[in-house]
Amino acid sequence: MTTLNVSATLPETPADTQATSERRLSPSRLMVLRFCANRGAVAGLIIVLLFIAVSLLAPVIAPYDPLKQDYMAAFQGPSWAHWLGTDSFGRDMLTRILYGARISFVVGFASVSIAMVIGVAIGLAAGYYGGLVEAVLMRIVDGLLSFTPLVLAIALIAVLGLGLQNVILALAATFAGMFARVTRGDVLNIKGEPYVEAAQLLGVGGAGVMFRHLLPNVLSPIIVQFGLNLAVAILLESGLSFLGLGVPPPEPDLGLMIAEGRGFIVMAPWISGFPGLALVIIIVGLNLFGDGLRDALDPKAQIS
Amino acid sequence: MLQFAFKRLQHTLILLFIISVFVFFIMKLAPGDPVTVMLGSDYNPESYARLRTELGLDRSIFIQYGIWISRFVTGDWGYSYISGAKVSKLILQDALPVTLFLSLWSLVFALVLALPSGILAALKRNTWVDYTGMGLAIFFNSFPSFYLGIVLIWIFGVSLGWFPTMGYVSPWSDPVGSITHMMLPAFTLGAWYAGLIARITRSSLVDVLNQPFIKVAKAKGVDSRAVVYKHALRNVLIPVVTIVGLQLGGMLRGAVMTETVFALPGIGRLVTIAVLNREYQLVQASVMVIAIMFIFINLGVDMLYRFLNPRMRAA
Repeated sequence: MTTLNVSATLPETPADTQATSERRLSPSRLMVLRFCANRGAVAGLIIVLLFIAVSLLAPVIAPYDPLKQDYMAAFQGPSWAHWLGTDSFGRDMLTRILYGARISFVVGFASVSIAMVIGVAIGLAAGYYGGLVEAVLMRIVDGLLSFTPLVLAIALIAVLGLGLQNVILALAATFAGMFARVTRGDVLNIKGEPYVEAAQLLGVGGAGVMFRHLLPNVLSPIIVQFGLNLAVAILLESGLSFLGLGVPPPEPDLGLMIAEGRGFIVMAPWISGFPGLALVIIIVGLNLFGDGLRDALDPKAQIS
Repeated sequence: MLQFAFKRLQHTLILLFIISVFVFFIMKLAPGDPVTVMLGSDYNPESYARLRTELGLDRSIFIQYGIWISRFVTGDWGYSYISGAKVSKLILQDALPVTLFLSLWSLVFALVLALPSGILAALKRNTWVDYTGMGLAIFFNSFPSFYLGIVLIWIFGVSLGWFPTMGYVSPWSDPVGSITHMMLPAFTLGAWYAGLIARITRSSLVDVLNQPFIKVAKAKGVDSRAVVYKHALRNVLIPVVTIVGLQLGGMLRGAVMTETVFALPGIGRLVTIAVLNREYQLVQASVMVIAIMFIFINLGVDMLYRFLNPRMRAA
């Protein structure tokens, strides 16, 4: 773990040391230190980075082709040839899990990123302009948030159809509202600050004020939201695929693999078991990371 | 309070209008012509034109919305193409009771598991009790309900044979059977919720125990048990009720998965099958019903929150 290492004049009491050292560090450095001091958060980050690395390297390190069927090898338990066994089509489970984690991360990052761009733009505009713009935009956001995420995603999938792209779009729509609400709340808090007024008096236009002056000052809660939503997005994606409403077979998707193994739970529990375990580890990692990020960026916030 | 209730109700009505517009337009994007689908083999140009006029599909989009929403409000939600049954019956009479029964049991499970462990973890802060409890809470909070369901079926249903793994039994026809059938699904759905509630209970109680009024009570010589149960817990109630309420929506999400895993004929399973079968009327009505339920749950939580927190009442 990194410790606070501040030299110069030594204050008298330990409490002073803490206060002085926190004052001397730049906010971003302080955030990194706070994050690193949180063992759970670091563990979460390591888990997530590890999974991202192996899923990116899947084409290189995976021992088999994720789609190649081999009926002679079907339903094999874990062995040296197939570390995590094979599924009902004789496909290597380890290979499919590596590629499956890849889909999870792609959908997670893509959907939450799109949601962030749209949501933050809506939140900035609503908070900055106020009045009718705010009323209309925020009522739309309220409407979006009144569907629970999965239900909105299901409704959108119903009309868009199945497939990776549509899942990403549906999830992006469900998360955009949360980003908008968080951004608007913070913009309202800082809108009256002197530096914002100064920028306006200098003749900076609406977009300039919003993106150059307001956005950098509301970034922390947006980043926190990003971290927390990643886990939810990956969970929702695998859930949709599990229901048959996400990525269609034969793609190696974790949710889909869990669903495919359901029928063989007695004779071949590893077919559902290992993809599920991988998903749990990814989600635990993301949750620990997200919680740590929140604590580091916004120490006042409680679990909420 | 009454004024607040009125204002909140007004807000709710606006929300209901917005979600109805959303649902209407989302379903307008659906591929395929509903008239052709509804006519099926009876299709000919005359019947097509007749049904189109009958449904108001030849009018402007705003009038179409008006026709749809007035039908929805009066309970005329159309018919399922596949079973031929009334959509309103499928949702309100058949599916909704199953989902509500499941949610209720899960909530009971979650509270029974979470409140004691959250309180214990807070009182034994930074001991192995705390670490174990919170470790389990994070673990269950991260466990996808569909995966937990499969694991539970494997252990308690198939290997040990303690509980039935599939299907729904109505509590009116067989009370005991209905509970044994609900054990695994309710645990599956409740576990996620329990993890969340336990964490909130712990962190709020830790916060409250550090407040000056607790120190005063202790300094006065109040029994430490009474300090926790009389002074501290009352203040923990507010954040816990808020989270319990706000996350009921999350429970609905879990219910969709849980119903599929355990083959429970609830609203989640209904809407999933409807999407797969492209029964848009059924999807439309189900989504509306779920969203309306969610809005009213939030309204209820908001009211309860004001009631529990006197400071909010004045505001």
